[in-house]
Amino acid sequence: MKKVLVICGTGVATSTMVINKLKEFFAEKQIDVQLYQSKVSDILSTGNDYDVIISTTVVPPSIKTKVVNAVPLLTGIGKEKVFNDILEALK
Amino acid sequence: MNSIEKIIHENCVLLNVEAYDQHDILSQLSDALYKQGFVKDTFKHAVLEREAEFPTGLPLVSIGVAIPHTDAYHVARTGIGVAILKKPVEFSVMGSPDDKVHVSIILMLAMNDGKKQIELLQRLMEFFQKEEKLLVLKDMKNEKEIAAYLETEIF
Repeated sequence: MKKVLVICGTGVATSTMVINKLKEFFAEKQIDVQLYQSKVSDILSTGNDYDVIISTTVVPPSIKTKVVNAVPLLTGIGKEKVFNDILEALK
Repeated sequence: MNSIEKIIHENCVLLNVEAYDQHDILSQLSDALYKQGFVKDTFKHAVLEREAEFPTGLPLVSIGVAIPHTDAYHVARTGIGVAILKKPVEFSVMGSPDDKVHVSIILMLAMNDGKKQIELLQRLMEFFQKEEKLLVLKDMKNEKEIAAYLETEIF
């Protein structure tokens, strides 16, 4: 199963907003993924273990995993592109 | 929800407020939340630092908003401080700190841990996405009205 990591600055607030949106999205698309939630400072050693990182904050360049900016999921502006980028990254 | 559990206190609604900059308005909101017992005395410093490192400005279609917050450790009980600014102040954009947004509405989140927060955050996010509902705030005449409106719309 693909591993999807959702991160933000605190690991609590905006990543929670995003992860709930993603749960709906993956359920609707009937895609089985394992969702993980964390804060950016905690992923330095583990960030390369995921198939895609979905983030509301800047991710350090040492992380080589594909990162999708999740802020459009909060504002609603440009969210289709975010969903498409996520699907693309999971192919 | 009864009055004891209110998340938005009218004394934590700053209507038509003037602020020199981001630091000024974040300080004013933190002080208001502290006075009402929502946050600990460490919250202000923590939220200012957090905003500098992980900005929370969100450019919506016709208005800029910001949702400053910090670790639950600095929070006493869940609450939201609201500022409707007389003149917008500049924030960096969440996830793209080199981009700036002029922010007119700030919702400062004092979030405890716990399952209740998840639902609250979810509704808050849906609220941002109905921009016409957010814009109504700018025309409201008093703090009580704003607190009541947000309690109804978000919770």
